[in-house]
Amino acid sequence: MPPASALGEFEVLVLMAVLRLGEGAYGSAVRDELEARTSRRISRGAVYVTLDRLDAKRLLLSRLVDRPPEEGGRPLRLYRVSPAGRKAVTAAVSDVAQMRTGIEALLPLKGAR
Amino acid sequence: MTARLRHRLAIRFLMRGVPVARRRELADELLADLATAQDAGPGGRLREALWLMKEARSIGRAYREDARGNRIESVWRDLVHAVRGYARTPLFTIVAVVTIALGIGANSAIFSLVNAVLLRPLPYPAPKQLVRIYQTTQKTGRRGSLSPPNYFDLKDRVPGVQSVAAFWSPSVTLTSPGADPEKVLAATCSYDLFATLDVAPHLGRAFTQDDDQPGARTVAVIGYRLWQRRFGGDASVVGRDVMLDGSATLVVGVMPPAFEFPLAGTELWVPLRLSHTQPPNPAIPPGHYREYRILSVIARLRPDVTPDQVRAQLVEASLALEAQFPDANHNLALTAVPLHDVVVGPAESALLILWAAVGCVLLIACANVSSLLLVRATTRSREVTIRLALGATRARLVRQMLTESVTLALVGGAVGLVASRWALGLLIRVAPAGIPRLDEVRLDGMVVAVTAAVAVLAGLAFGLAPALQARAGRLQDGLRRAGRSAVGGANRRTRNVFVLVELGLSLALVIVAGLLIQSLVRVQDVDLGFRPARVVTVDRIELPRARAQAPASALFFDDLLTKVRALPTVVSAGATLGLPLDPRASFYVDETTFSLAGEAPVPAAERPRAPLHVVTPDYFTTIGVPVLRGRAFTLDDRAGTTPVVVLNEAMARRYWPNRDPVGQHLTHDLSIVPGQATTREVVGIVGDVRHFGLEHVADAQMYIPHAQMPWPSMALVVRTTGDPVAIGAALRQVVWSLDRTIPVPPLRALDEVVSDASGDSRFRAWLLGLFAATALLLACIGLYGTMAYSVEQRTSEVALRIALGASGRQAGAGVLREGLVLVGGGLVVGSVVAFVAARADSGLLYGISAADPTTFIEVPIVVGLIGWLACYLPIRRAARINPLRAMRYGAE
Repeated sequence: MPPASALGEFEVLVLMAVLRLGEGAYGSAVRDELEARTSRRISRGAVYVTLDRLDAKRLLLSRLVDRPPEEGGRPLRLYRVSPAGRKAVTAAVSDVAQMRTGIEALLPLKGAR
Repeated sequence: MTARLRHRLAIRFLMRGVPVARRRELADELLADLATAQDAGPGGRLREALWLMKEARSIGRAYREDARGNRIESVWRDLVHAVRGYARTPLFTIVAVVTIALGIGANSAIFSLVNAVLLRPLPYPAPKQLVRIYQTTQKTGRRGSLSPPNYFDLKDRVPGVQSVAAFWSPSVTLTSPGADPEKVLAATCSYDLFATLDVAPHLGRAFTQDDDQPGARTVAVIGYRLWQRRFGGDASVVGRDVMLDGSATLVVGVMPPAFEFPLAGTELWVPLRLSHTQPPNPAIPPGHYREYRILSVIARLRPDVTPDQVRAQLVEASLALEAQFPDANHNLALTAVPLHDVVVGPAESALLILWAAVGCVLLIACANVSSLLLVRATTRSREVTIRLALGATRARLVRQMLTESVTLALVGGAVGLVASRWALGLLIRVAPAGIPRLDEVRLDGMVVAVTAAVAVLAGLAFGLAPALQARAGRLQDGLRRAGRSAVGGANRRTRNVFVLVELGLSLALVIVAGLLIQSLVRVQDVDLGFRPARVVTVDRIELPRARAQAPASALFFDDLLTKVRALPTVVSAGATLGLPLDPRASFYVDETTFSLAGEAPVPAAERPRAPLHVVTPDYFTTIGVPVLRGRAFTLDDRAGTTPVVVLNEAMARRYWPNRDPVGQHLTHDLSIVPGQATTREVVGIVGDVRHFGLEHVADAQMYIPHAQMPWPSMALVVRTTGDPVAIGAALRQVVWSLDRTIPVPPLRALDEVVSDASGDSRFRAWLLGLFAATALLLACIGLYGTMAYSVEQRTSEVALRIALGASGRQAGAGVLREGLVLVGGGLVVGSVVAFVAARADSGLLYGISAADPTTFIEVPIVVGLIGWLACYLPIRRAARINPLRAMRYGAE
């Protein structure tokens, strides 16, 4: 198992997005959430690749559910964060928090996030 | 096709690189998103489709880049792993690298040659449009020069040609006060030669049409090397006068470096200054100007014209010229040959054969390395199994193996390239004069690129066998401790095939090399017809134009030879128009038509032809040609006395088969003065001399005394008792005592001239012999290795047999039989390949047939014996094993 510090920045963001989305965490939803909350343009491909990678690393768990017939009936893959994933996000967040203390003095941060 | 289906196909294409299972899911998600979006925003089929494609492309790209990143990462890991593995087995690595380096290095060197000589276009703009125009002799097809009137007329009669220039290559003498006179190879050319070749001068200007008129002020263009060497690269030499053959000549330009048309070493160009009507030699009657064939002609075709088209136009022009001037141009036949073929043609087949030979050496080297890798692969079966268990795909394994083998090949290739640089230098130094464009040979970017490509291909080739076996899972069985594993089986079959092919190829090479070597021996053994030992030559002494008239020339050479004879250690001395076995022999010694007295007159074109030599009286005794009948020339054969001629034996036998020709008369047409035939009395017959080449059996040839045709340019031959080269200085003094302005080229022993004549054969035989020996060595190493490994595999079996009472030999019989089958098969394959290959080379063989039975029987026997030895030795070693020990530890 790779140590949490090996997580890339985007991977951390995706994990956080999945956490936020709770039960409704599927590809497009994760992407919309990221785009809405961060200040960047998120490409669909990057999101899906990262979801797969996190899935392979067992930081995310995924399962296939059937969509309701009104939406086409095709299966949909839903993600949730695994315990290891939780640990990884926690570690990453705390790392950033540690580095963050006192940084307001050095950077003009627009609003608190 | 519905829109839906089109979308799906497009999506599948755009999302290539996404794992198949995931692709379906993602496509569904995209379509679902599209459906929800449609409720929100405005419609438009096109916008939908574009959106889909954009998103699908983004997804596909993201996955592909991710995979690429992974692949690069894993290739790097494989590389590091490979290097570590090779470092752990240094002996294997060194053997493999050396084998590859041998194969690739040899190929590099030969390819450099082939590239520069055969493949690279000639160093002129649009070289394919340059052709040489020849006048051919109807009967023999020999290509010859044109006469100036024909050349001038030709310029307007061939529409396909953009520019026609003529040239002639004498040597001239450059003198400067205070420096020794220097003989320089020059070309007299028409003013438009440089324009035809499309090469501009480096400094100054080329010739104008005014420079090329008879009586115009003498001008010259000098070559780059001459400019540097004699004038120190001083730009002010342009516009200055230099002394050329005793007359002041204005230098008008300097050519760029590496321009040496028409012959390598040409350093000076002067205009021909030929008149259209008046021959340059005042002794030639203008009515015979059209027969005065002295010009070589080169033409540049118009961009859209092919040589075939020009040949057709030349035929028409020939007919027209023949109709216009029926006497001079009787049976005129003009043809065009691409310049590339003229320059490169003679060396082509030899070089291609050498290339094929090194190709075989490389194949054998690859087969050996592949066998080594196969054996090595079996020792890594455990590692392979573990990798597979950890989830590596077979494709991944194959990629790993190929990465390793290509790495090995690149390392070996790099070593080989370095070695080939050194080898190429050596090759160029020992290469015979027969190989053209040697000055252009180098190890350049093209060669490096091709070498790298060959290395990669070789790496893939010899990595293929172990990689395929890894893929087929045959390496896994290593974990099972069976007595004779399945690994050995498939592995051994492949290795056996390799050995068989290697033996076959190397046998073929050895046979062909053997044929070439015997050919060389026969060429060197031919009866020259003279004895070159202790004879030195000076090629040549030429009189300046002012002293070149007949009486002065006769007197000069008479004086010269008298003085040379007076030198200490000189036994005899003579002069000849052309030295025997000189590569330019047919340039100096011309053929003449002749007719025999008492026979019905025959028109000029139908008369027999023979080369006409001009020699001084002591020539025959000096070089050791026997006088068989009658006498040789004496001092009494002079201008004003009866014209005499001496024939060689071949001529006597051919034209007077039942009579003694001595006392008979013949009339020949060639003379200093064309059109003036001379009737001569035959006074003697001498032995045949191989004048025009070691491989040319002497045909009819005639000799006339210098005093009766005092040509002003003669080569000297001097027989000495002492050290030949020591008389060089004395000789020079003798010449300069008669005329200080005549340059004396360095002496050469006649032995050296003779030896150079077989230079081409020697070069070929040596190189091919070297390659054949290398190939055989590699093949035997491969065979030995395979046998040794086979024996080791079956040690337990052999040990059991010994324990049960069989002798060592009986026990090893099975393995030996297997080996001998391989050797036998290799001999058969090799003999067939050799037969085909020898027929392809038969043009290069002399005195030996391409299917020489002795060679085809003896060589396979020898190679078979060597092969048998390579099988027997490892078995013998194994037969001395302790049966118990072998059985206990067994073979894996």
